[in-house]
Amino acid sequence: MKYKWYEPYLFIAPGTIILLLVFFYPVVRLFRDSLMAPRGNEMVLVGLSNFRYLFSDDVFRMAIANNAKLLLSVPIMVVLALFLAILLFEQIRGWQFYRTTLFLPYLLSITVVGVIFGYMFQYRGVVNTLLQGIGLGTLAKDWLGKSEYALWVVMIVIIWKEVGFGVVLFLARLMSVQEELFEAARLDGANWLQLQWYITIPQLKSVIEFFTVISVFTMLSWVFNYIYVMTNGGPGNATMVTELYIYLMGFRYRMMHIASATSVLLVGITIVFILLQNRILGEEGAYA
Amino acid sequence: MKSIRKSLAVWAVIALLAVLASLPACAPQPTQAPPPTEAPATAAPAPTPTPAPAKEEQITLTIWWWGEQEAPGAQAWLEETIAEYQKLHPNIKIQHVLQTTDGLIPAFKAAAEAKQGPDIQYFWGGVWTLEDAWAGSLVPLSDYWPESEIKHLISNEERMYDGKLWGMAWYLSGNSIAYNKALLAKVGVDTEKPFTTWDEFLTVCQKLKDAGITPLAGGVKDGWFGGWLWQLLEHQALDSADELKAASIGEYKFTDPKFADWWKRLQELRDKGYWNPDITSLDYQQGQDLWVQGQAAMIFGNDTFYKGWMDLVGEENFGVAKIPVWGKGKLAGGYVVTAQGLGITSWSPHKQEAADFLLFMHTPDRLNAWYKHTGVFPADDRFDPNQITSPIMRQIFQWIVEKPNPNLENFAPSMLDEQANFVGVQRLLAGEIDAEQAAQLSEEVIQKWRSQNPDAVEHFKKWLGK
Amino acid sequence: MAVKSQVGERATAGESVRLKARRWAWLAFCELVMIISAVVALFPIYFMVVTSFKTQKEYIADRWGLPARITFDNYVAAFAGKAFGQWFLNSTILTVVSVLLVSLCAGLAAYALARMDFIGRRLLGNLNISLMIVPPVVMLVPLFLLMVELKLVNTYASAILIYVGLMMPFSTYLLTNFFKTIPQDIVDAAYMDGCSNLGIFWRIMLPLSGPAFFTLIVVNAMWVWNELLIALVFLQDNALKTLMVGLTVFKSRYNLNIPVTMAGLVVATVPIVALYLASQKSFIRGLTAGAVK
Repeated sequence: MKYKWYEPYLFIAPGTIILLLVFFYPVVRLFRDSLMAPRGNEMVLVGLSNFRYLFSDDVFRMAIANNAKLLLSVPIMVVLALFLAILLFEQIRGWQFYRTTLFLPYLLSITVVGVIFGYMFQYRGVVNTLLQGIGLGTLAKDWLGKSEYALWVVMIVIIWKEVGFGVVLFLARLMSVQEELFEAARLDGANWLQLQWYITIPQLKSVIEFFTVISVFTMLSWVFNYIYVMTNGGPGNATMVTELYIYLMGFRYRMMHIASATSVLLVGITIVFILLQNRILGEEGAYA
Repeated sequence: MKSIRKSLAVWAVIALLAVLASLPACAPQPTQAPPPTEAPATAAPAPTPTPAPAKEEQITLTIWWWGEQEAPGAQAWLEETIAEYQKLHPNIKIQHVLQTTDGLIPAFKAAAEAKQGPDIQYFWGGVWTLEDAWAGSLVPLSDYWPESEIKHLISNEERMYDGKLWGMAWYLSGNSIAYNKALLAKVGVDTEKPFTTWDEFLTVCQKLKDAGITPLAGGVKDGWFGGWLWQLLEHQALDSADELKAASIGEYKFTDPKFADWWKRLQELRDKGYWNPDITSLDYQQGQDLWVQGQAAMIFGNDTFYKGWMDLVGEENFGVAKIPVWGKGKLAGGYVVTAQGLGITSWSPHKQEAADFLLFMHTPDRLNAWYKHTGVFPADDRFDPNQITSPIMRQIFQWIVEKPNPNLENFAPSMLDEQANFVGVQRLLAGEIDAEQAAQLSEEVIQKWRSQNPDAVEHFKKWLGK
Repeated sequence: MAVKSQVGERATAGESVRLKARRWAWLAFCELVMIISAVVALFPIYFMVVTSFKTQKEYIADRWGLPARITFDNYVAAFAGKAFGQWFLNSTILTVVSVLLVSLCAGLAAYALARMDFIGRRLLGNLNISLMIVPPVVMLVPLFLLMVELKLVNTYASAILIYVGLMMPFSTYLLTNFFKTIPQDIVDAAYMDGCSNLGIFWRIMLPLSGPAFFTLIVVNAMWVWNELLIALVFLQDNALKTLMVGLTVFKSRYNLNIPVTMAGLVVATVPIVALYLASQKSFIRGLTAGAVK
């Protein structure tokens, strides 16, 4: 690989400059604000007192717990996306149409999605009507109004919307895989399952990893819109998540310092996660 | 490959054109506020050192507001008002930007931090105005308006602090029970005066329920209705909003009967089955829809909606009643009303002009035009009630003038409202907790709030007059 | 380049019938799964479109059925008397410029991260990923202060800059991932032909990651197009309002005219869907052209 020593820096320059411009000041300010609190119309250094408050706040603990629960959806999404992508790869009649339709949910605005699913899961909504229609009436619940179910329903909606991205991603990568690999395996007498296990999945390894990381981050930091539109954190804080907590603290309750501390915590947890990932995956981490 | 490059080239050309198109937008526009050609002092917290404006200097005022969403017609009125004002003052140009419901506060907060943004900002009453006043983002209206004008505004109590008035009341938003006359008549209830006391109210509900009609419609899934239920049922137990302020700073507990008893009323309604069974699964809006469709007999409503509702259900079928009374406080029996309002920002270089425009909004011609456009009452006692054609709305206006009650949601920290009332109501109506636990939750929340907001506690104390 | 089915086709004459049956069953199963998935994926769009043609009354009465008569009133209500053209133009400018910029910057950076070694490579990579976790909502106020300092408030540039910044981590990560999978021999061959690094980037990397690249463009475009909060806070001038902001202004907590909102959203969704459908052709072509070498 031939390049002069300075070439890489030229390549990364434009992107890095913008990154620094947009992120540097806010992140620094974030860390600074997390250690401060308002006292007498001024911001004063208070050490770790904000963090202490966070750990004592049951609402915050609920938020973290819910984000953790949402992480459970990641393996589901990955497997589902893989499954659908592999099926599409079979190139049955009309596969392009199916691929297009599977991706469409991802393109919809979350407002639309939230409103529609909010209606569907009402006590007198379509889902319950359907269940009653097929004789499973006892399963008809107040899906978004009862604490036990609300979060799982939101999770289903998130999966519904996000899985299409995985499908397209996996399919794109699959189509770049060299045909010879499949041919060789088939000539060796591999059946369908073996083909997936030994060829398809290993070939998709890096994309699977990518999609997993993206999904994890989504569950931690990019579900605000879903929650806000579908449940507003309810019922009774049962679907409170960290982002909503930050938003409420920062913009509604005027406790920006708590919001900053929460964000710092979130970023901190993630950095730990990334370092762990690098350690576990060894030299095969994303940037090996 | 060639096709990829070709399409990329096409995109590049489009991008170039877009960049070129965006350049004029970067250039200073006369309607932009603040104009980029202004002195660089905009970033500094010190006020811009412009002397009192000379008569002929071109001035631009910017208004960030909300309200078309709840009082349709407001925008038309505002534009009309601006046009007329600009005719009278050719050197002043006014620009208004309607905010989204969710963006109103974040946008202002960002502006406040940068000390750059609108000259006039929209605020709901009570803490929603005062918190920004405490943060130094507002200047008192009373510094710019004569007392003779101020005394005509309705609901100034919500914006008084430290002896000054911190915002201008613009229009009124009040609460009462709206009911479907036909359904009430079906069970033999007097459709002109169905109830006054709480017990009478329960009797009506029971009659409806026995006849298979849902007595009350509601939706608490998105939380807001919980706040309404609280303020409508709780205020009657108090003598004044001051008691709520006192509770927030710890002089009362939220587990005291004064503050805890309302939960028992709510529990009563729940246990007797007077709500629509899917109340926890509907948003506020959907609860409304239920009533509009005639699937429930009564609803806790807001008078800014009534014009539209009368169109939907028919004016002959529409009735209103004051909130049934159970409480023994001095506030019982009044009509809860709040004034949505506007305030002048502390960084505005044209405060006097802004105040002047606000004054113009309250000239009688403008007040009457407001009602014509929106069907909502302006917050001014100089408004001519003869304009009100609907007998129902006239009755409401009378109630307002007789005994206006504060809207408690404006007198407590928003954290209490959302974390205790929204959450508590949801949990209670879902059957997960009872009245006692809900009251306990409120006390916990206010303690959390106090622990993290010592400054606000001081302000509340001062607000209380201590 | 056709992709063959993966079920083995070797068979003796006797087994061929059974194999054919199994193959048919398999394909039928695939078809069934796809149909179900398509229905599941499409019904909200059905809802959105159907509702946009109902009156408010009709809608409240029957959420899911078809309207008695198709009415365009909602579309008129959503857009009449409003600066729809202006909003559309603003959204388009923001989307096109931001997406192009980020594609370029992320692409270049990804190339270096994926195929070159330099000091700070791992640091930059990890930093990049970490930045994805910062919730945009906390960046709002500091960014506003920054834009005030740079005198960019109420200009397209402020929103574009922020969007590019926010999309960079994700885009870089995705492209790095895809660039790494391109076989080294193709690159080496290009070197031998005397290609510069920039040339390789332009002529090899981009076309070969066609599908990923176009997916990225569509995803980013969708994000910018649908974005609300930043567009609101940084573009306060009525002349700069974006489509999404213009449409959601009328969403209040207590009062939402769903059919009209749906009408607005239908119109807002169409461009993105159109972009996606249009770009599909390109990346199929790019795929067939590029991979066979």
